[in-house]
Amino acid sequence: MDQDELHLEAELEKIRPLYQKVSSQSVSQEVDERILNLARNKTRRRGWSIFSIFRAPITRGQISTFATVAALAVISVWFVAELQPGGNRSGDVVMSKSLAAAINKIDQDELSEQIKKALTTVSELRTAVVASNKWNTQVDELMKIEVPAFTKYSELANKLEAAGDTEEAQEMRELTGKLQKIFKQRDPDWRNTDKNDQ
Amino acid sequence: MSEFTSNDLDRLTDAALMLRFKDGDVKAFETLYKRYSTPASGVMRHLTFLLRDPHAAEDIYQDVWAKIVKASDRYSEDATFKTYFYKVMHNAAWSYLKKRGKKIEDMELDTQQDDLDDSFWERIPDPKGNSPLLLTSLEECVTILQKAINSLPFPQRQCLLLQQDTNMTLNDIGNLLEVPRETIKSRLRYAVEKLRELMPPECLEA
Repeated sequence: MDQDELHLEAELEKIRPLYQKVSSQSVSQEVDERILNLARNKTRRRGWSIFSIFRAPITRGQISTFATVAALAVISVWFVAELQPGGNRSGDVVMSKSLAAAINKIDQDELSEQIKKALTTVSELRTAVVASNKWNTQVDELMKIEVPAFTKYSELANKLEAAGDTEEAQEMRELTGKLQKIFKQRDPDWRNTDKNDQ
Repeated sequence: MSEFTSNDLDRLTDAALMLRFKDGDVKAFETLYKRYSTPASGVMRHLTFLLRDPHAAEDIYQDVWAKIVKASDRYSEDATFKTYFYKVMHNAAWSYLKKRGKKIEDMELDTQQDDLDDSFWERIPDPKGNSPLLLTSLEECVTILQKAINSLPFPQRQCLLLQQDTNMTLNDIGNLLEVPRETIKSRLRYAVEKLRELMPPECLEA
């Protein structure tokens, strides 16, 4: 520090005591509260925000992405429920091993295979939107095969019950009921409509 | 989050408090805020002098803290908190003045002499001794100093306020304002000369 600077510093130091006597206005309590609330909100947001791991403020873009993802999740759940007849959960529309065995026991292999195929088609329907062209086409194909055989399913359930396989009989009736619901969605008057004529 | 007591927090540096706030400790922020919000901190005085408008000073004060809270995620200990705080403050003040259409050249010329009416200047004793009034009161010296600081052009006022309030070195002030050290020195020299010119000697020599 040269002489010039030392002199300047000495001059500035002479001003300081008087400067310190100039009163500083107080900040209003309202302003204090506003600032402290801002800080509290900031720490609260850090607590719940999934974006907090990035240690950056949430941008509008992030909020928009988050809202879109959330909306898609809700829509997906709704679609899955819609696609499954009667709102059943995924995996319901399959034949259990015990049902397949019970059907085989009463020597109805051919019918057992037909039911399996029908159930496979029903499972595939879950990937299509109800009443979409794809869904309509698949259901129409299913109805061409299954509607003529539908009475056989009821008969099969009765036979299973007679053979003492009550649980399997119940399962058979539930599966039949699911098929009925799908058919009804496609055509409320499906019992009286011959799909082969369409 | 805070397992620190108020006493523990009081012992921490400003930067340490800011880092704790960054990690979610709101009590750390409250402690830090208390340090800078009391009249003794001189923050409002600094802003009022800087803007020459107490209402604008309160607005900018809020703005500064809002900026600090919002940017707390990105806070790092590159500089002392005080330097960071005053940098945010001076940037905000500068933006405010710019928005009001003040150019640096205008501010250089704007000495607000019109604020100092004739009666005020008549009361200031002639440094050569031909004083119309004898000034001995401390309050009067303070009032004169206030008016004298307000009469300084913005760049000189800015440097003087930083030097008086923060004890920063010429280098620090230069870094904060992004101006060469020599320019800061020259602005301070002009500021002192101007104050010397406007202040009765007894006010500064006492």
